[in-house]
Amino acid sequence: MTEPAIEVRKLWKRFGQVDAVAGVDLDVPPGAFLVLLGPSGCGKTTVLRLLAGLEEPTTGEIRIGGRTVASGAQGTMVPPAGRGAGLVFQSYALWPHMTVWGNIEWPLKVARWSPADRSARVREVLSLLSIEDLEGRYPSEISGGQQQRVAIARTLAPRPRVLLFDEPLSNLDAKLRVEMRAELLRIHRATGATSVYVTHDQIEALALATHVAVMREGRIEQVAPPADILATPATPFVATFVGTPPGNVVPAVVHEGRFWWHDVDLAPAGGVSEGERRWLLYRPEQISVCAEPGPRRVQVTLAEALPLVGRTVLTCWHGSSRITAVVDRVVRLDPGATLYLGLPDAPATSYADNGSQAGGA
Amino acid sequence: MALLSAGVGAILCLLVLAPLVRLVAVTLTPDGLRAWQEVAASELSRNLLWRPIVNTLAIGLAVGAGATLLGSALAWLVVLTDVPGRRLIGVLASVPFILPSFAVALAWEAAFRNGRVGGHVGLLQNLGLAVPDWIAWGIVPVVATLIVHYYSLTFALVAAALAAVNADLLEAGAMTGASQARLMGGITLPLVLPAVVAAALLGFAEGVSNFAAPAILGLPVRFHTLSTRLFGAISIGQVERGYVLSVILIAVAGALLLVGTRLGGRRSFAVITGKGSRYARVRLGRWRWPACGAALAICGLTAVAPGVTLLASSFLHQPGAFAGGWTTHYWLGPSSPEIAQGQPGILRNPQVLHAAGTTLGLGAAVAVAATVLGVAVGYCLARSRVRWLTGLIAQLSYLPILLPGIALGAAFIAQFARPLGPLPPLYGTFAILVVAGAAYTLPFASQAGRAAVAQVSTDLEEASLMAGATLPRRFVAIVAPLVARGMLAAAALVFVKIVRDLSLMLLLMTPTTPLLSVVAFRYASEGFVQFANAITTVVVAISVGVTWLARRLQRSTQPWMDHD
Repeated sequence: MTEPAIEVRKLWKRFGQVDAVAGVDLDVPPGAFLVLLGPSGCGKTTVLRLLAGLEEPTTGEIRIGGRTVASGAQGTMVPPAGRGAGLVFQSYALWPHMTVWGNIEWPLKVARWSPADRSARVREVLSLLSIEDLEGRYPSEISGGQQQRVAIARTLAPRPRVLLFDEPLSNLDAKLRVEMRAELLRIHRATGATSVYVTHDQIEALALATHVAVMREGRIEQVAPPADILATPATPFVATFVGTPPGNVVPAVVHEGRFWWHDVDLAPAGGVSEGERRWLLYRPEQISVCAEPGPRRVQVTLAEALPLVGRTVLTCWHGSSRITAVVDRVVRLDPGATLYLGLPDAPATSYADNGSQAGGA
Repeated sequence: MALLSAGVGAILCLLVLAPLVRLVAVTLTPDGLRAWQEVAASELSRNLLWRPIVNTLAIGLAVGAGATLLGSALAWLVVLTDVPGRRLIGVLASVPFILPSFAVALAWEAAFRNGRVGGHVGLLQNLGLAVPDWIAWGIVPVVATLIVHYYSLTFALVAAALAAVNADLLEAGAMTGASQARLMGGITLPLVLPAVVAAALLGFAEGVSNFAAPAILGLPVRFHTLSTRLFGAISIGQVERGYVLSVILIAVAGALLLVGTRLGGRRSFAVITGKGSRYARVRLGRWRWPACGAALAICGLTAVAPGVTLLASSFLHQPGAFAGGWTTHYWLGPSSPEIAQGQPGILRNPQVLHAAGTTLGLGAAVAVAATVLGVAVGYCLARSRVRWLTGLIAQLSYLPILLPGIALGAAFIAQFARPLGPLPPLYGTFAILVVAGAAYTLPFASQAGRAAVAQVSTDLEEASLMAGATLPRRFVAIVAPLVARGMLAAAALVFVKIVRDLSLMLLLMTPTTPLLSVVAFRYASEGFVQFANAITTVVVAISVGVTWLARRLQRSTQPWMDHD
């Protein structure tokens, strides 16, 4: 295996009493498009800022292209510009007193490119982003989608080896967002730069990523290609966070060799000993909807029935636990109806530990 | 609504436009035209106009440049660097502007006065240091005291602009590898340049308009500015000359302020609270502690030293001399023929106590009047759809900011010294002080009123309209409660502006309506320094105390908006 483009080792960042990043390890292969996915406040933006050099790690180490750029132990702290990384800000951060051309050119001036090289490169990135017409405009005179393109062009201009994106699409409307996703993939192919992209939107993550890192409370729960994250979620949190709709994780207790959830007999417990707890994953599409009670059927109250491309997503309540099921037809049911959800013979997987996961089931 | 707007428009015309028109009109009467000739084209012109105008412009330039440099540097330190003690520096730097400008001038006099004009001398001379004339009198001390007063204003303006710069813009610059100097020149400075230029022009205009500093530190050595000449002319009865000089002063100061405020937008001089920007502050490295020391020294000398000097010198038996021993006579002493020509201490002096009563009463009356007017203006501007009328209200409510206090005072004399329609002549009454005060503080009060009304969404009113409430009812039940706390803070600041004012009230005050600041000024010009300093200390204490209260109020203005 080739040397990773970015290596992160035991990274911690503490703000006052809060551990925003609590022991992150990460290897990003060259040319990968890594998406940091997680709910707000999970530390994903802080990881990005640590990579950019805008924050200093409390402890831990970051290497970019084999060179240590930040190390808590050695006190190394390479400034942002020395890391060969470019950052696209969530707010775009275009300098309002410079034209589009000026915005793109300024970083090159700072890097002491010759006027001829600068001019050629600015033209090149303007054309890469299809914004040649805008070169003389000021940021306030162009639309949000165009500002986004300028921000990306400005970041690409100095040819960074690593591209960092901080929720760059969150200020765009739904249609532009889809358009820019395709654009970002095209740019990624064109530049081949290793990219790290932060978002809380799993659709964005699944569409863009070669690798997804799911974060929670300052830690990485799982790093894998998108398909693997969906197929084999490593933790109950990943299982209940990713997927449309996400999976159901049910707390089960072993009694007389079988898993029980309240009074429902779920499955044989295998080797798990009496009285122990496991968290069982049931995928929505494995759950059937029945009118009558029966074995492995859970009585629920329907909260909402959402028709979706010829299928129906049913969200139901069993006491205070929410269960989601998908059926392959359009069903007409009124909210408040009493239903029975039939669980399959065996769960998709089981977890010994839910990692202080409170929700899910 | 239209009725309300028309009423507000009419009041503003009477309050602001009429006195100005009258002022100009008087200078166009035969007497007035003769005064123009005397002032601008006679053998008197050199002393009446040209030398004062040169002095005035020189003061304006020096104050504008000095205050902007000092204020901007401190603002940069506090907002963008990791200098230790930023909060303290920020708090101290906003104090000098709260002090009355005559307080700083009197404190300078108490410290640096020398024997040139006879009478007592200041602390330094008494300690055996020979204070040269150029430090004791004339343009240098005038400029220095005005810079002390106004750097605080430029600090507030530039710090607000710096704090408003999106941290992402600077981080995007830092990502390029630009040096700190390059970042500052290429990004930070261009972004706040409008505020810096506006601050410089404001400093210039304030330096041009100020009366107290040249009156205290210049007049004794016949150093004149437009405002002291204006005051001199009116106080010796050459009213038309005074009016002509007022028109010239308004033209000079007003033109600059107009340009300045256009450039800087109508920014409020609001307090800077340290917003927790995530931007990594500029690391000063080994300059951290020297910078902290220098900033604290400057702020301490300008914010704390004047008050302490005034307080201390009010307890000295002989002005400026520690050797003469300490006494509480100037505060508490009974009348005694041996001291100060039989004047009792200020707390026993019925005249001073009368002045204290009038001053506080005036402050309160103006605060109420200006606040009510401010909300009415704000409400008209937010809700009225009659374009030309709202345009007029906006312009008139803003106009007084262009008028130096002493010139506005002259305009009020021109207007209200004679009966106006059914109204009796107001000159010499308490009412004229209230009316003038309301006009003077109108720009601030309307800005506060606009901001407060803007917080009340039209939806809220429309909801009550749906419930059938009439305009007065809506105003009382919905608008008033929602703007009340914000306006209370504004009222407190108006109160302070009036209590510490000297230039506006100086010409309007008569012995029946004495005011603390004017009494202090009179005492100072007659050489009763301890009395002047004691009264000024009281005014300083009131100003700082009430401003502090107002800022606390501002912070807790909208308790329901605290959690965001």
